[in-house]
Amino acid sequence: MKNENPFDDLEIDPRLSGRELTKRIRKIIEKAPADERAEIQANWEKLTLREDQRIHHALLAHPRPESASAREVSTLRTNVPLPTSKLQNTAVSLTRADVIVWDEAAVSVQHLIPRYDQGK
Amino acid sequence: MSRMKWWSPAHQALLNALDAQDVVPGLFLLLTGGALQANEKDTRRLRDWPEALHDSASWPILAAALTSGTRDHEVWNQAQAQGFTDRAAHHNALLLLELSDRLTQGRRFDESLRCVRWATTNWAQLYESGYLAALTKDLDPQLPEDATAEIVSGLLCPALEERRQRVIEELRKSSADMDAAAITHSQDWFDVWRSFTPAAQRAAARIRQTVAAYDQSVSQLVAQQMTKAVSDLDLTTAQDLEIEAPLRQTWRQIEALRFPAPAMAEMIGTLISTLWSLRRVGRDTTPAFNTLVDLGILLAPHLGRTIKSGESIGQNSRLGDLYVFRAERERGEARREYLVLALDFCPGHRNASMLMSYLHLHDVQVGMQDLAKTIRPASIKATLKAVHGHLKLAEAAFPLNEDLAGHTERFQKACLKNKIDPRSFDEK
Repeated sequence: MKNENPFDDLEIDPRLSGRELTKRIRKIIEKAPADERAEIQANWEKLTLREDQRIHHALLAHPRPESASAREVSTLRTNVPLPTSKLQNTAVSLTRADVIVWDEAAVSVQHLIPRYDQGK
Repeated sequence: MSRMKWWSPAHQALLNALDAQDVVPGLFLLLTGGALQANEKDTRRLRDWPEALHDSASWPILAAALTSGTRDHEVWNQAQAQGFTDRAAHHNALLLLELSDRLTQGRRFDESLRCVRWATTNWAQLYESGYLAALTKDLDPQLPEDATAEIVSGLLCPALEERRQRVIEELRKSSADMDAAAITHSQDWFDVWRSFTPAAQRAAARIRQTVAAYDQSVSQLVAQQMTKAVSDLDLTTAQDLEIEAPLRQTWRQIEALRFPAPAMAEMIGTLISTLWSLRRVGRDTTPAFNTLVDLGILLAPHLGRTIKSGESIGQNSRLGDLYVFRAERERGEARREYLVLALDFCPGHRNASMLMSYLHLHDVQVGMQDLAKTIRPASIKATLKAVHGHLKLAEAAFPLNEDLAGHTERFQKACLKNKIDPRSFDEK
C-alpha cells in the first residue's frame, strides 16, 4: 500500500470536520513554498470534493490527535509552559512525563528513569 | 503515568513525540525482523501509536522486548494474544499493511507475509468491535447507514486492487524480465486475504469478491497472452523455439501463480490443440512437439489435483490426451503407466483405451510365443489361461480393436491343439 494518504501527507488529524479541514489546509497552503502548493491543493481536493473519499482516507490514516502533533520536537519543547511547581511535590517514582515537566532537571535524573515506562 | 495538575496538552504532545522517537524505531525492527528502519517521517506520523500501545494489555511485553532489543517475531504474537485497544489496533492495522508492502518491495517476502497476517488480525478486530463503523459515524454523523456500511466494507479493497495491478504488470513482462518469486509472493499475500473472515459479513464479502476478481484477472491475462502468441504462429513454418516459447512462458506464469485452476485449464486446452495441430501438419516427431508434451506433463499433477478436487471441470479428456501423447513415446510398462493415468482421469478415453488394448494384445502375443516353448500340460494350460486373461482385457479395453479377432482365433486354435476347451477359462 503506497503511503499517499492525504491526511498523512498533510500531517493533519483525520478526525477534523470538513470545515476544520479546509481551514487547516488553507493555513498550510499559506505557509507552504510555492512549488509545494499544487500538491497540497491536490490533496485538499481529494479530501473535500467527495465526502465518502474524505471518510475513506480518514479511516486509512493514522489517528493523529492534537497530542500527536507533527511539529518539531524543539517547537513542542518551547510550547511547554515553564514549571511552576516545587520539587518537594515530586512523585516518588519518576516517569518520562516528569522529566518533560522538569526539563531543566532532566539531565541529572535521566539515568533513574526506565527507558520504556512499563506502567500505565 | 502520573498526571500532575499542571499537566497540559503541550506536555502530552512533547511526551508523545519523545516516546515515538524511542519506541517506533524499535518496533519497526521487531515487526520487520530487522529488515526495515523507521525514518523520521514514520516516527512523526506515528506519534500517537506509543500512547495507544501503552494503554493496551500487550504493552508490558512490547516494553520488555524494546528494552532487550529482540527482533523475535514471536514477541508480537504474544503481544497480540494479550490484546490491543482499538486505537492501537487501528495504528497496527494500517502500519502492518504498509510495512508488508514496503517489505515486498525490498523482497523480504517472509517478513512481508508475517506483517500482512498480523494486519488482518488487527483489521478483523476493528471490524468486529464496531470501531470502524463508529469512527465513520464520528467523521460524519449525517452519513446514512448504508453509505457508512459501504465505505467501511470496501475500505481494504483498494490495497488489494493495487497489489493486483502490480501482479498484472509483472505478468505482462517478458519471460526474462518477469519476477516469478515476486508473483508467487503476491499469490501468498492474496492467500492471507482469502482466509480473512471478519465478523462483518459485508466486509468479508467485499474482500472475497476482490480476491476472486484478482484470481480471475490473472488467469485471464495468462490465457489471453498465450492464446494470442499461439494464434500468431504458423505451425507449418514456425521454428521449434517459436512454438515452445509461448507455452514455456505460460508455464512459468502458472507456476509463479501456484497453479490456478482456470489458467491451467486454458493452458492444457491450448497445449492439446497445438499438439493436435502439429500432428496434422506432420510435425509430431519434432523436439517442439516433445517439449510441449513435457510441459504438459509438468502441469499434469497440478491439473490432476484440481480435477480430483472438483475445482477443474471438463478437463479430463484433455489430460487423457496429454497422457496418451506422452505414452506414445514409451514402450511396455512405462507406456502402460501413462495409459493407466489417462484412463484414470478419463475412463473410456478412446485413444488410451485403444493403446491399452494393444498393450494387452502384446501380452497375448508374448504368451503365445511362450506356449511354443512349453511342454508340460499343466504349464500349457496355465499359459493359455494367462493368454485368455490378456485377450479379455484387450477386448474390455477396446472392443473395436481390429486385431482382436486374429489373436482370438490363434488362441482358440492353440486350445484345440492342446485339447482344452477355451470356454473352461470363462467359468472361473
